[in-house]
Amino acid sequence: MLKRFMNLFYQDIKVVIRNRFLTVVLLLAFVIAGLINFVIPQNVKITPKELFFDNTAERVWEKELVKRGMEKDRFYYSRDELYKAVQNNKSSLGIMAEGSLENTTFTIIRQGTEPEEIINVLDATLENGIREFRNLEKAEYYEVEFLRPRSEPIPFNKNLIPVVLVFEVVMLGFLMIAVMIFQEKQEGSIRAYRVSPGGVLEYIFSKASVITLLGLIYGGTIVVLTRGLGIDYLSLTALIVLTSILITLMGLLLSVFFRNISEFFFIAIAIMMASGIPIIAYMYPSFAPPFMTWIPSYPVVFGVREILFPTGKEGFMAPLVWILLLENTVLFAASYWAVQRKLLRGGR
Amino acid sequence: MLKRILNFIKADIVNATRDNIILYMLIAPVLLALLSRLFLPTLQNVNLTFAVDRHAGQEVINQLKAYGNIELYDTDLQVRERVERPDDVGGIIGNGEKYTILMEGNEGKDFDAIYTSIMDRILRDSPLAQFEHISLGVPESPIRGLFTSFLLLSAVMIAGLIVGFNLIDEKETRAIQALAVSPIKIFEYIIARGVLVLLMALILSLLTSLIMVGFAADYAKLVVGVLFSAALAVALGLLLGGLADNQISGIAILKVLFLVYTLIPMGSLFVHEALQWVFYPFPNYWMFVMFKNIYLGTQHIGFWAASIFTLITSIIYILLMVPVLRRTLKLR
Repeated sequence: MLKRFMNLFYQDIKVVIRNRFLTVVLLLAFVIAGLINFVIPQNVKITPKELFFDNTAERVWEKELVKRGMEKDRFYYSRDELYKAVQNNKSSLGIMAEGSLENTTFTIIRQGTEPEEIINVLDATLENGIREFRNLEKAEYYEVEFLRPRSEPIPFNKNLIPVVLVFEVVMLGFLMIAVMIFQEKQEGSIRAYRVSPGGVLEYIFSKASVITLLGLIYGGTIVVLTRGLGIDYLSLTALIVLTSILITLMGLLLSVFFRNISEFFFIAIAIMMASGIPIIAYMYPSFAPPFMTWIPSYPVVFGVREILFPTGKEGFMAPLVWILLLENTVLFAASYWAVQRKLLRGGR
Repeated sequence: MLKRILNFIKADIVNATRDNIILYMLIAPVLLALLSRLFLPTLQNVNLTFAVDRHAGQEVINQLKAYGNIELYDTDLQVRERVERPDDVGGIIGNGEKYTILMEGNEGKDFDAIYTSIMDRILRDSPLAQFEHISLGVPESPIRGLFTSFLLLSAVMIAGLIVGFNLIDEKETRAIQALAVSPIKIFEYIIARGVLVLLMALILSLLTSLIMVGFAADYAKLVVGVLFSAALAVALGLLLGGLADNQISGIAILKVLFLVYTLIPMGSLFVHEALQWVFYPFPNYWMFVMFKNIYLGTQHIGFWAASIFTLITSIIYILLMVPVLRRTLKLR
């Protein structure tokens, strides 16, 4: 069996190299690493942009906020100017401060689509600003406790590495397995395989191994170029391998029910986009509706983030690996059945 | 010439119908748009979530509701377990007199400051400032418009990819060799493919827009926009089909194309208006600006200018590809 598997494996490797897949993933890895390292900014604001008009006597707000790094172009010098700026930028909120620090009145100009809760949070943070500027004591006794030491916020560009690994590198398997199968169907090699001594196991293992290897080369190159060598590559490899196999099995299971790539393509795009929904939860970490947490890629992307940017969280790998093993087992059984019934029917 | 083009289109439609492509083509964007509709309202109302110990007291719990969603737990251990989960949810534990804000330690910048501000405001006897709120009465969040624009970009791309994969199929089945000895010329071939793309892109775009925003869009402009975008879809299809010898290499090329196609409009969202010129050579950037004009209101470059630039830049790319296509497809 091992010999048959190795023969198939070499054959599939040749197909991948001949069709420029290795070249393409290496090229993409360098492009993506270049974008992350040199093009994508470290700081990007994805929440509404606050614009200000400080009409207080001493312009305390403007002075303090600029001192703390706020861009000067977010300040306007009349109510009308601020109003127009907020009207022109649908992702902005206007804040006008009047009076003195001891008796401030804020006028918040909002678009009207923001939830009330967010406006209340804005009010609270502005009041907290007054407390800080006036050096007032805390209201009553409360404290902040961190379960683990406070970690440095991850820069926006580097924060995209887990997204790339889970939703680009690993997703490669979903389309690739399908294309390999359709190609074999079209060339007639699947018919030849039916009458060969090779079985379903070798067939699935060979394809999954080649695709996983490609994923490791792709992902490994990106991680080395963006994060260097000082991370836990063993855990990262484990997650990439398990997730890559899972996605490949999913692609295999679905593709056997279609006649050609054109038919499969549209469903594949829809499924790949659905799998990508957790990107939103990753980019807006306060947003995680229950249905999203059930998508397999959700825990994986956060697991990969913890490996790449450790915060001291312990014990997250074992449950994640167990879940992935369980999902792989279920999908393997289903794929085995599907390949045997739909693809290799007529063989053993 | 017209007859040859019509025959070609007929053959493509027969192929598409035979392979259920039309059916799947309709299913995919409908699924995507429905999925987007499903979670967009939630996304538009993203709030903070507080994991609160019941012993914190009803008054604090009631006041916290004004700032976000509340998840109640019976013990502080349960609150700690909730805070440990991957998302950014802070915990509040306390006994009515003394409170602890629990943070995991890996939350985003200023997250603890926001929670502190809220608790401070709730627990303070008198407010530190007065607030007045003015609403501009904007009916719809820009997120929906942005999502719709991105979905329309993918609709045009799907139409282009059908052409690309048809072309690969013609290469693999050697139908292209038969075409090479037929009277059809390269420009007739491109026009024939263009008509098919246009039909597909129109169906996909109209369906996507209807699901996403209903009738709250200027559909005349959308039709015009898709007309101007058809050349880009043709360019995508020809590039894919011209370079790939088979489906596997087609997918390899598609990976590069897809990256360029999606990253340019996405990147333009994060680049300052003064630097937007770096995107000007790319038709997908102009197409994105065009769709944003329809769904988000007037942009820094208006609808008509963006539409014309989409067409011009796409045609330039097609013209650049013609010599390559002549060589690979061997058409006259």
